Amino acid sequence: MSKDKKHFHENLFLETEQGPFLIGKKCRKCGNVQFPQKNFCEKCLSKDIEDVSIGQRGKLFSYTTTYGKAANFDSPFSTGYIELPEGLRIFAPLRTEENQSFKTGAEMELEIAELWEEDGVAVTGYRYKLADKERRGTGK
Amino acid sequence: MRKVVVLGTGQTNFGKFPDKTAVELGTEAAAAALKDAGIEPGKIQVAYGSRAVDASTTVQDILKNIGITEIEMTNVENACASGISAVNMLYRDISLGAYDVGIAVGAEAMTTSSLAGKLLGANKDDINGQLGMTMPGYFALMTRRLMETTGATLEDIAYPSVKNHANGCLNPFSMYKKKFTADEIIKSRLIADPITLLECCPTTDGAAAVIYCTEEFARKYTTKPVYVASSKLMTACYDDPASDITSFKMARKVAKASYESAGIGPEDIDCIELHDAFSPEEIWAYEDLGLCPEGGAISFMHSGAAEITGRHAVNASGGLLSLGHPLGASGIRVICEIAMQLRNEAGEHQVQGARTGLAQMMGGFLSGLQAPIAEGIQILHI
Repeated sequence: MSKDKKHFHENLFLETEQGPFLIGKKCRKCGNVQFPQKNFCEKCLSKDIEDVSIGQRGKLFSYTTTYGKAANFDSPFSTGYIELPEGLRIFAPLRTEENQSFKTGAEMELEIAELWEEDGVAVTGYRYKLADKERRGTGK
Repeated sequence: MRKVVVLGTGQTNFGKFPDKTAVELGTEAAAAALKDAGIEPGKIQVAYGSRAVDASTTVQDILKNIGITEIEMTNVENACASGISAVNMLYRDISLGAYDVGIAVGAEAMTTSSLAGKLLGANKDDINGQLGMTMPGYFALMTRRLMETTGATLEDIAYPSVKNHANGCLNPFSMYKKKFTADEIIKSRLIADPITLLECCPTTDGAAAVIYCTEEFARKYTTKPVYVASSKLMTACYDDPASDITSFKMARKVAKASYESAGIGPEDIDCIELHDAFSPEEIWAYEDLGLCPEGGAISFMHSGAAEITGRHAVNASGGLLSLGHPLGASGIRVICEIAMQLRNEAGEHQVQGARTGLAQMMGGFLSGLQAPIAEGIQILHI
C-alpha cells in the first residue's frame, strides 16, 4: 500500500522533464535572485520580480553532520550550504551514503525525495547529493 | 538624552535547579538588584521582563513577589537576545525622560522547560529550521568556513572553551568550575562536526536583573556610578551571499554604531562579555567587535589579549560556556558582570583597572536572514 504524500511547503520546488528545480524569484530591476519566494526583492524592495528555475546544480560551500535530534531528522543527519551559479546560497539537507565523504567545493545535484513522515504521511522536499562524478571518486 | 546609570545588579547562581521555577529564580535576582541598588521596591517606576521559553506574564509574576505593582510592565521576547532587548527598552525610557528609575529582569528554567534535552528547535514557519538547521549546526557550518579560509586548527577552535572554562573556575556564579585541556575538548563527543560537546554551552537555569536610573536619581544612592555610554539593538537583516559566513554582518553594524554613540573606539574597551554559545563563535566576535584588525582573530587569540590579564579580557566570567545560557537571563547577566568588573567587585576574576566594558548578546536564526536575528550591545564606563 502506498503512503500518502505531501509537499514540504508550497512553491519551493518543481519536477520537470529536465529534472528538479527550486523556484526562485529574480528581480527585473536589480537582477537579484532569491529563494525562498517573497513577492518583493530583498535587495532593492522592488515588486517587479519573476519566477525563475534555479538550483539544479551547485557547489558545496560548507557542511556538517549533526548528532542530535532536530525538528524532522533523527541523529545523525547532514546539512550544508550549496553555492548556486545563480548567485545565491541555499541551506539544504544532504543525502548521505556509505563510504562517501563531503568536501568543500564538491559538485552537488538537487533531488526531490521523501525527507520525513508526519502522522503516516510522507513529506516530500528538496535536498542535495554529490554529483555522479564526485561519487565515482569515492569508490561508489 | 539624559545620562543613564547602572544603579544595581543581581543574579542567581547559574546551574541546574529543577526544583525552582523561572519566576522563583527571577524573584531572587530582582530582589538582589534592589538590595544592591539600596532602594525600596516602591521606587521602581517601570519594568521589563525577558524570557524566551514557555513565557507568559513573567515580569508581573516576579515583581508581585517583591512588592512592585501598579506600574508599567512589559514582557520582551527576542530569542537569546531577549534580556539585552529588555534592557535596551529600559535605557530608552530613562534616557528619553519617560521614567527616572526602572528594572529589567530576565529568567529562565531551561532544564525543566519544553526545550530540555533538545537542540534548540525550529519555528513551524522557518523553512531551514524544518530542513534540519539547528543552532550548533549553523555554527558548525560557519566554523568549517573559518577553518578553511583562515587555517584555524581544531586547537584554535577549542581555545575560547579552554580559556572560559578556566575563567569559570574563578566565578562563584558559574555552573561549571572545571578546567579542560584543548585535547579533552576536541575529543569530547561530536555535536555538529567540527563542534564538540565541550564547545557548546550547557542547558541551564538562572536569572539576572539590572536597575537603571538617571544620574540625578543615582546621586542619592552611590558616589561611584557606572554609566551607560551606549545602548544599541538591531534585528533582522537579509542574507548576503556576497559575504562569507565567517562573521556576523549585523554584529559589525551594531558594534560600529555603539562605538560612535559612546564616542570611543574598540581600543578603549577593557573587558567584554559576549555570546559564546559555541567556542568558535568567540573567535569571529574578536573581529566583529573590532578588537583586532580584519583577519587578525587567530593571532589576537594567540597573543593572550582575550585572557583576564590581557588588553581586552573576553568573558572573564567564564562566559556562556561556563555559566550556561538561560536564554532570557544571559543578556542581562552580561551587563551585571561588566558593571561588577567596573566597580572592581569581581573578586578572583577581576580584570585589573577595568574602566570601560562592553556587554553583547545575540539571538536567533531564521531562513533568509543573515544570522543573528537580534544583536544588542551595551557599553558601560566609570
